[in-house]
Amino acid sequence: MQISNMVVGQFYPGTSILHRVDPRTKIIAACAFVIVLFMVNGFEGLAVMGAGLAAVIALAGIPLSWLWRGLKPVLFLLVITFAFQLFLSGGEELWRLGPVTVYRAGLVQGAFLTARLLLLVLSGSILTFSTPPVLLTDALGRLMEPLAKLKIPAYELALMMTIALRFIPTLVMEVDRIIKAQKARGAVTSGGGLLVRARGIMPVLVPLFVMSFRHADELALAMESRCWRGGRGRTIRRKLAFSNKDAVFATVVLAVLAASLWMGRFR
Amino acid sequence: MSTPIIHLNNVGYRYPHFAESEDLALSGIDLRIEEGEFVGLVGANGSGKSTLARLLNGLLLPTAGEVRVGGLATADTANLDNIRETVGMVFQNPDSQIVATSVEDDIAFGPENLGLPAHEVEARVEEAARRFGIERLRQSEPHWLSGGQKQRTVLAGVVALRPRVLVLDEPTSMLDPRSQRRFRDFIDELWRGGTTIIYITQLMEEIATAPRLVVMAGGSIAFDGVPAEFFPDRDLLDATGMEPPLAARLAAGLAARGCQVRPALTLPELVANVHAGSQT
Ligand SMILES: Nc1ncnc2c1ncn2[C@@H]1O[C@H](COP(=O)(O)OP(=O)(O)O)[C@@H](O)[C@H]1O
Ligand SMILES: [Mg+2]
Repeated sequence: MQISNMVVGQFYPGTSILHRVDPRTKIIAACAFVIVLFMVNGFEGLAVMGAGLAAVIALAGIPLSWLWRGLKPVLFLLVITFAFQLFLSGGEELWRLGPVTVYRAGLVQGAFLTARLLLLVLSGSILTFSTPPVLLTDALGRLMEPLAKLKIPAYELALMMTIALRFIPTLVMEVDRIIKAQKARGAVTSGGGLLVRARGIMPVLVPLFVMSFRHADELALAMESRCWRGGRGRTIRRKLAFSNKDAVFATVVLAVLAASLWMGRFR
Repeated sequence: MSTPIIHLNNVGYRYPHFAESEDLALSGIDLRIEEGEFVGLVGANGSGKSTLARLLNGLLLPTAGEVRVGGLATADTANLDNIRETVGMVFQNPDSQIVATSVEDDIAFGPENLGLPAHEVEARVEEAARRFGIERLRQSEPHWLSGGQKQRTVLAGVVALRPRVLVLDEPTSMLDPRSQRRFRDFIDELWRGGTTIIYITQLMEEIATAPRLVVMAGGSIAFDGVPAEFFPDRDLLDATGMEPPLAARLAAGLAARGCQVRPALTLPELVANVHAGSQT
């Protein structure tokens, strides 16, 4: 697999309503979604949330292939989560395959946690798919503004997030390059047993750390040279403004979340 | 005499981690650069070029002597804001200099730091993007750009601060030959527009036509003059570990074989000289 295709949360350009909703509304909605996700404890609730999410995906016009690309890197995590729960012992036996026994409770629990994790990843992905990174960090900075009153450097935190978003793809591409360089020297970085692969990670991690530190060092010099003096007194270039679209979107999200909580209560 | 835009007076620098060692990264540097000059700065690896560059806008402060920018000493922290606005810096690796997640946001970073009004920031972004041929990439995310486009984004971000002096530390060493030439042409254009240029490079072709060449060796200035005086001087070349540009070596080689070729520093010059030689 080409590692640079794995870039998580790539923006998918578009003009859908979701693209035009204020990024602050989307961030709050995503947070609320995640909170409710962990409050709901039945498949019915998850189903309502999933349906809501599917509707939003359709609304945003994000193709399934793009969605799939975003999910691929976490697929492994989903499988592990499921497998882990599956073999929980106790309760009603379903199948016995040699030394392995699958219990009903484990299967149900595995399915539930996997579905929850999937919805969690999807909701985050939709936020980044429908929002350019610049607006995302602008909005985060704006939302955190009240923190500045508590002497928390909100602006600097937002800039840190911008820089993280800016450098993740660069570092991913560098990992790609390091892997190719190590392969050229005969290193095993894919295939093979788990142990072989784990050992193959070290020769990739070490140069990656060195590169990250070098980037950080040079970035600091470049920022200082470009008159960075901290967040105080900087120009705010983009004005964010709520509109009717935000009210509609927020109402729909609230309705879906309320419905899923409601379903959970009567289980 | 007017105040030079850059003035180094007996400057020395020692990196702090090596305080106990005798090794100075720079020593005894005297350098005057007038506004509007183009200075090529070359020297072997470790000769102190980057250290010198970082002294010019107060990223490093001299451990001996004094660095003045437009008459203001870098050692006085009250001057630093002013000095950073006056002296713009472009470094080697464009990937480590881009801060923002889109080209236009990166160009805007400097002007935003100055706290300029939003419309003024917008105007400067617009102008810089157009000037360096990246106006169509304004919304692009940096990691999709080519090396040349990235380095032009960096240049636009620095020029948007309207510096009077531009210090470039091996800015083309990570670019392909065509992007190198394009980038170098943009620098010439800025120079003709009145910006003072200090251009550090390992490619002698890039400074062969510079009006002034400064050569560093072992943390000191070994030569300060015109390229045409430096490159024919075998002893000086050996002492500083430098090589003449390809065209100069070709011209010398041809002359040694008895061809009628006058010395040259650039390819066009060599072609003209060879042509003139074959006519006689
Ligand atoms: N961060 C640093 N810490 C300690 N020594 C350094 C550092 N950077 C450079 N030096 C030393 O200072 C000298 C000059 O380096 P530098 O200015 O980078 O040269 P150049 O750019 O010409 O290659 C070298 O001997 C180098 O080893
Ligand atoms: Mg250097």
